[in-house]
Amino acid sequence: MSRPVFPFTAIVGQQSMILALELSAVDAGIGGVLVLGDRGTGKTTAMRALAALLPPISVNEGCRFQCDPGTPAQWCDACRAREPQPAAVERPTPVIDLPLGASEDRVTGALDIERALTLGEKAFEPGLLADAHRGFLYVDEVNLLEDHLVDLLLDVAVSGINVVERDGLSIRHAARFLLIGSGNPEEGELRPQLLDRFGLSIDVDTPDDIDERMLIVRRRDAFERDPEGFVAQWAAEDAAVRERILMGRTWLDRVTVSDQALRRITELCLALGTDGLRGELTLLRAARALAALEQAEQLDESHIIRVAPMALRHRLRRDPLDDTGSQLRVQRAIDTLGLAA
Amino acid sequence: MSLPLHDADAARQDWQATVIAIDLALAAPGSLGGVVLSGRHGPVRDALLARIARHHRIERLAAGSADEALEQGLDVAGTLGAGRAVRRRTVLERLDADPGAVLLIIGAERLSTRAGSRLARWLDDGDRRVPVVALDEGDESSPDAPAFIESALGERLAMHVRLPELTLAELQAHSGEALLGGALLPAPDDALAAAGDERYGAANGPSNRTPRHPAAPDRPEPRPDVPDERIRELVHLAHALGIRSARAPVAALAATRELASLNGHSPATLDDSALAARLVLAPRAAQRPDAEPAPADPGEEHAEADPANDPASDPASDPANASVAEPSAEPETAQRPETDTPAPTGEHDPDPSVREDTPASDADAPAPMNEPSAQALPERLVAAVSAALPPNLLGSLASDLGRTGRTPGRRGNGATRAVRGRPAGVTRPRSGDHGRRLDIVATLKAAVPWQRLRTPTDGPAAGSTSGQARLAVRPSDFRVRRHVQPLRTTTVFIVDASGSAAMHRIGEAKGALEAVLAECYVRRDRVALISFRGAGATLELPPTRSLARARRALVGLAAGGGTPIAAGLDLASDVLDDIVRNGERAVGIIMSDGRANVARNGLGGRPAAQADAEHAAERLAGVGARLLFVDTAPRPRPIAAQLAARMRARYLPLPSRGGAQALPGLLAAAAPDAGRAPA
Repeated sequence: MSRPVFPFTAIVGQQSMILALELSAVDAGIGGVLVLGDRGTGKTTAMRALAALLPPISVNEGCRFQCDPGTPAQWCDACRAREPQPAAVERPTPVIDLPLGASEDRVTGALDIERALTLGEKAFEPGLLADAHRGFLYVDEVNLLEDHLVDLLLDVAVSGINVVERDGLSIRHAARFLLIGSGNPEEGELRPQLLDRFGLSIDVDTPDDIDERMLIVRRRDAFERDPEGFVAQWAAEDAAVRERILMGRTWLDRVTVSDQALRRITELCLALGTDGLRGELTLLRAARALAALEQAEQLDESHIIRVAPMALRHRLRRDPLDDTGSQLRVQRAIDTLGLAA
Repeated sequence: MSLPLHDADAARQDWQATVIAIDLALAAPGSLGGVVLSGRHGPVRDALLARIARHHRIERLAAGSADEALEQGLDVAGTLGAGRAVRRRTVLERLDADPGAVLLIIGAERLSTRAGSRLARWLDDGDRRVPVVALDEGDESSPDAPAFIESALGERLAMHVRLPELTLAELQAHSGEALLGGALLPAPDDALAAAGDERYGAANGPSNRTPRHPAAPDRPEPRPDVPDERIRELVHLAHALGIRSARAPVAALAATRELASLNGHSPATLDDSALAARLVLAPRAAQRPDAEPAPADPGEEHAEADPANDPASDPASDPANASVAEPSAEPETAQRPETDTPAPTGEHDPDPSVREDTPASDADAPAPMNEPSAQALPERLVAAVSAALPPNLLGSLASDLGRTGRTPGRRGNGATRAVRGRPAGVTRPRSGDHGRRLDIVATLKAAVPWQRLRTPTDGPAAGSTSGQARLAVRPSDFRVRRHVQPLRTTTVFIVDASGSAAMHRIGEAKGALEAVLAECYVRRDRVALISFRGAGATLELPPTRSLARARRALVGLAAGGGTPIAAGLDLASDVLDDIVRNGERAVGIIMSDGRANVARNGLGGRPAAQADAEHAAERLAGVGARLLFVDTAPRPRPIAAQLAARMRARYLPLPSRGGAQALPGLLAAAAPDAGRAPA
């Protein structure tokens, strides 16, 4: 765990993946990012890099659920009961890896076996969802995860609350995290029901350009040879992105959404025949996050157009044999509607 | 392979390369991850492992028990005995505590995805002081399992070598020779000692093993430089070999640097990078380095947007576009590496139109852009790699087809609710779980933690005779066994046996089918055969596993008459639909020239027949099977490509006249065993 993390800004290419991650960092309510692509395309690197870039969070000391000292109303029972009030400490943004083999117990939390065995006490041991609160939950190869676990994750990701009703325990605790799933579509499909529950979906590929690939190899090599030095070299750029994201978070409320823009979003979704309202909501949130990231006062069509592919491409009516064209279909719909960037 | 052809020289070189690969892995686990040795158990492998064991403690991890060994958990018995929580240490925790060890993975190809990704994560995050040696016993000629090299873990282990095929005498001689001083390297141990590599652990025995800290601040002496030219060559080569992952060139560069360091070169030489390319890039090759058209100007590389990468490259429209945009340049007239790999099924004909017509699948098949050609690469580099390419690599057409025949294959989860199949751990029973077996031990284990909570009060245990000694088990403790049953694949051949097809090359088609049949048999897939001719279509062979029956049906296949494509496709839809509904994977391979002249009502007339055929194609598209349309016409016409697009099949024109006899060979690339048998 002691290895330095490859800097976010040193990642070559992959603009749409980077944009999707930044948008989600601005507004976690977008609802998770799904990154699909071959191995060695920088999925894991980007996710880790983003987490390392984000500022530390402030938590109640000793709290297993990472309660935020700023919002006492949402504290867990343990924090409320504490006298005197717990002190606030800083902690890096949590990044929790969900291993493929994780059991449901481990994910949701379960009976604390140690205390049950030794003291005969019924106590709750928080799981990965609690650990990920206010941070990231990263599931590599999400397409290979068992369906019931994916269901559970997405439920919690959307509601922000983890409810445990098992082993004679009844617990609910806040678990608001950004869910990032990645996977290689050749190895197994994600069920469509799960697919459209991710807010944004990105396809990544290795760049075909030789110079770009050279750059990847050089940077990676420089990083491997001298991680600390390399990270220091990119620290300024990373800090700038961090500022942008933090600024975007505060800016989010300032972005106004005109009826006209909303209508455009609806038209686009209708033209594409996306199921349900989720597509529209996500498109709206993503476009607003982009506007906030760029510190625009008003959401305009260019914001919509730029995020439309990643917000909608996995919501189109599915075509079992051909989903490579989905990006194109979104683009076509944009063109027909005459939206202008 | 076999002794009469035994090439002692090649064997010696292979041996040396293998030894070097292992030494690299041991010397630089941080940047290289480790090494994969593929091949069967045998004296060669034993000798290599014994070599490792001389300086390292070997921690074994067998694929079968990997899931459990990697799982953290509470040692229930220990906890109860000690009265406090006793955690079971995982293999990885043990390894992290003992940097002198080597992780040896036995049967790596059987490692579950779960265990593989756990290990991959460990490699990504940890300090990586422990090299991984993975033994891949997968039969590389069998397309059954996905190759280990493509897995999450295989991807992260830099070097892959096939175990050299040595005679016993050679083994004795070489293992002695390699220890005393090979030709390529000074004796590995000496080399490492000479390089002053304290991370390797001082020479003798486990007693004075020093921990290695690649990431520690007291980094070893500056690593040798690798000139830009070398880096560029490696990146080019990776691209020319069709390797998509960015990890491969990065690892090749790291290996180059380590080799230079071992050899005492600075900056690194072409020898270093050639050997690194052989160990790291060659085994990952998806195509031959010379398999691509020559670039207009190899010297010029601009960072231009790649047109083929454009979202506009809709696969459905591809074939039509591509056949227009044939490259005019005749590729690979010059510059074939001298040490050409003996292709198992003869030379393939590098017909550019054929390759270009093959629609690119989603992500593979790098687009011909500012092309890194074999020309741009030093011959030595290409030669070094060519010698170590996987044997069944015939060219992009073959590998493309191989993929089609294979990717719909057996990857994925399989049904975990199955009651039969490979055991895959235990789980709580869920509603609707019928016929699943109770796992007694797991159930008891689940009950143990609760005992102190349960004993004082009610429950059946309290009421029983000698309450104390009994375990109180509640329904919530029940655990049932899980089984994974792989999805079965059924391949349906839909063969045009009409007069026009017969004229052309029904014979070749039969040969090709037989090769594919053999492959299906190896995979325990089922096959079915539909033929259409004259007025209608017949199911010549219902889905079966019997190779003999399939062969007989094929031999007895009569040809002649009209071309009722619609009827053939309709029957195919029915058969494939049945298969899909049974929860199996369905693959359809259609072999036709795509020119219908008999309509659904059995009457002749091209326009009506063609309209019916297109309609039937659309219906077939909706079934949900993977389809491959092989155009058997001597001169492929757009009409067939259109039909293929209608049914959303991958379209593959057979090589034109000159390369026609290559078809069975190309198809056999997916089943090398079958292709090689007659030779």
